[in-house]
Formats: sequence, C-alpha cells, structure tokens
Amino acid sequence: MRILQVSDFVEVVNGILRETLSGEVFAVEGEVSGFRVSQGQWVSFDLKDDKSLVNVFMTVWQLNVPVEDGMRVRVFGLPRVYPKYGKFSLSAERIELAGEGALRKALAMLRVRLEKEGIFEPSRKRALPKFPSRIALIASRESAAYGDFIRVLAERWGGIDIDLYHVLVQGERAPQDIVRAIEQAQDGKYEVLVMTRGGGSLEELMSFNDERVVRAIYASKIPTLVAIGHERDITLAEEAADVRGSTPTDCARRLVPDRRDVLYELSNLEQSVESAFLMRMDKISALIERSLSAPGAWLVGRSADLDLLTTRCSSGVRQWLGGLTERLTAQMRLMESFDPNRVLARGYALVRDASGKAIVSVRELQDGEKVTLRLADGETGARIESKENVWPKKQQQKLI
Amino acid sequence: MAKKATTEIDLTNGFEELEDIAGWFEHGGTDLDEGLKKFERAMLIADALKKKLSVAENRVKEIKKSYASTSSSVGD
Repeated sequence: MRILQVSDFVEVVNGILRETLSGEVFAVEGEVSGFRVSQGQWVSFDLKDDKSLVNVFMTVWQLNVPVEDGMRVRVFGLPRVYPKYGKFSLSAERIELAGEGALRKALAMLRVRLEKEGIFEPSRKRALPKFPSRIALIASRESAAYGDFIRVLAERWGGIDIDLYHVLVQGERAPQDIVRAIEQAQDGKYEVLVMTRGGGSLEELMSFNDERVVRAIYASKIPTLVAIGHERDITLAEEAADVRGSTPTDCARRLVPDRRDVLYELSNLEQSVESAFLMRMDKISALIERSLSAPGAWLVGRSADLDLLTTRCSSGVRQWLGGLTERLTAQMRLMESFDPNRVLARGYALVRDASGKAIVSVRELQDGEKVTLRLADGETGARIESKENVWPKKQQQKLI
Repeated sequence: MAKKATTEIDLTNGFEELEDIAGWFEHGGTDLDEGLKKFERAMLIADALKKKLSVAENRVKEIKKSYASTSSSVGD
C-alpha cells in the first residue's frame, strides 16, 4: 500500500488526466451557467447538460468569443484538479460557440459593444477613389467570390493592378490569417483594400464577425470595401468597412465605374463644356457690341437732351415775352378807361372856376359867377344865372 | 449766375445751366434785361455743347474705324 500526501495524490491524478487526454483533440460541449469574471482577469463558469456539470476556468485573454449564461459552447482544454482547493475543473484554452442561436447571441453582444465604441460610425466612413489603379484583394484564391470579382472588374474597367492576399476564409485560423493580410496591405502601395468571400452559413462567415478582424478593418489606413456572403448576410467586418458591397459582384461594381457609363459621361461633359464655352463667347461678343455702340448711343442721348433744352429755352423766352406784353396791354387798357376826354366825347362837360379848379358841386357856385366849360372839342365861357334845383344830399347820393 | 466763357463750359455744367435758364423762363421772372441776357447765355451754351457733342461723335467714329481696321488686319 502506498501512502500519498494530498499534494502528491493531486499531482498523480493530474498526471493521469494529462497523459490520458493530451494526445487527443476534444472539446466539451454544454450550456454556460454562472459566468463570471474576477479581478478583470479570471473567467469561470459552469458547463452543464441534463445530468452533469463541470467547472471551467480560463483567463480573459483566452476568451476569444463573447459568452453569457444560457449559451451553448464547446470548450477546448484539459481537465485538472486545482491543488489549493481540490476542485476539479476544465482549464480552457479556447471556446467555440455551438449552434446558430449561440452564434447569433454572441454576434449581437459584440455588435452592441463595438457600436458603443463607434466602430460602425457612419461619419468616419471614407469615400473610395473613383478610378483606383492599385488595390489589395483579400480573398481565397479558390473561391467563386474571387473569380466573380475579377471577372466583373475586368468587364467594367481594365488596367487595375490587383495584389491578391490569399487567406483562409473560414475556420479557426481564418481570423488570424485575415488580420495578418490586412496589416500587410497597409504598406502604402494600395488605394483601396478589398475583402470578399461568397455566401455560407453563419458559422462559416463567423471569421468576418471576429472582433480582431473587425478592429483591423476599422484601423485600416486605406479605404476599405468589404463584401461577404449574400445580400442578406451582413457581417461586422462589412459594417466596419468604409463601403459595403452586398455580394462579390456588387463589390466590383462599387470599386470601379462601367467604362461605357464613363464614356457616355465624357461625351456629355464634352458637349456641356462646348456649349458653356459658346455661351461665354456669345456673352463676350454681346459685351463688345454694347461697348462699341454705347458711346454713340450716349452721344445721341446727349444731343437729344440738348435739343430738348434748347427748345425749352426758346419757347420759354417766347412765352415769357408774350406774358410780359399781355400784362402791359392790360395795364394800358385800364389806363385808357380813365382818360377824361373819352367822357367828354359822350356829351359831358368839365366845369372850372376862374382859378381853373374843377367844380364838382352846385353848392360851390355863386349866382353870376363866371366859369369855363370844357367840351370834347374845346372850351367856352359861361355865367351862372341862378342856383336852382339844388338837390338835397340824400337825393344827390341816390342819383349817383 | 456766374458767367463763363464758352471755352470753359463742360458738358455736365452746361446742361445744368441750361436747365436753370429754362426753369427761370418757365416760372416767370419779370426783369426784361435779365431775361434777355439769360436767353443769350442759353443760346451760347447750347451752341458750345452742340459743337462739343459733334466733335465727340466724330472722335468715336474715328476710334471705331481705327480699331476695326486693326482687328481685321489681325484676322488676316
């Protein structure tokens, strides 16, 4: 009988476990429960099925997929008894998500986290150059996507240098492969980085949802164009790219214009440049014409002004003189109406006393007084015989 | 009104003076001597301006003619 110390016993058990299982590649599949991270570095959770449960232990750096309770995962690693607490656990080296549900859940979690970081921010998206001359293409040489992309590119536009970075596009090693290719393409030779692969199941496309790949796309110094799978598949790598193509064919369409469209555009442009030039020439000609005729027209205008002013002065002086003459004539007529000879001509006589003063009242006369009578055609002497018929003042006023 | 010799009459001032004189007649002054002097002045200015415009018109024709011949010789 062997008597073993506890630590020796644990060491023996661990040794047996290690020897028994290390030659075999295996993974333990089950549902995650009690997932927790302690001190920011240790990850532990229970992996269980209907009948059993085993504790899983690993570091956060080994955790390569987002995990939460209820997810179905496959854990790769070795079982061991932890000496200090005598606890049996599975030391995980890596974890794979098992089943579409777990993949989708993990994907959704990662999307939320990256979105919060601004990895998919539309405002940081760069435009692709319109006519790229050299591009880096990350794809699988054997894939239909590669063939489709190259064919459509050649149909639409020729003369582009394409450097293919052949990568694995699915499987465990694919993300590292893709990240390395992205990093190698950052040497300043390329104007666009294109990444494409054809359709597949969610599991097959998961390399393009890998956080490392997404971050490498995000960090690319050159504009990125990513098209993975079919129209309905949208991977995180595509969301992080500057431009997304829905399929490899669409990817080629987005990268270069169709030469027929460009030729058509060119011919339109040529026509519009020509018509713009002709319009400009017409404008200049019209300006020259106007400049030539403007001085003449201005002089004609001035001459017309001068004629008008001269006429105004001539007619003005005529009217002014006429006005003055009319005023004078009116004054003369008025003066004429006051001429006493015109009254005498109607039969009236002017009576004056001996001193020559005009007599206007009978009361001024004395009986027997000599007076002079002036008639229209001469004067004669007369004597007042008697002052009869002296009217009272009231009647005299009435008569007047 | 300041009297100017015909040589000093420029176009703008000449037109302004003619406007003033026409206005004087139209709105009635009564001084006959002043009116006659103004009319004489107006005729003097009008004559001077007419001559100036005529000279300018001839000058414009000459300039256009000289440039027309230059551009046609360049065209040749």
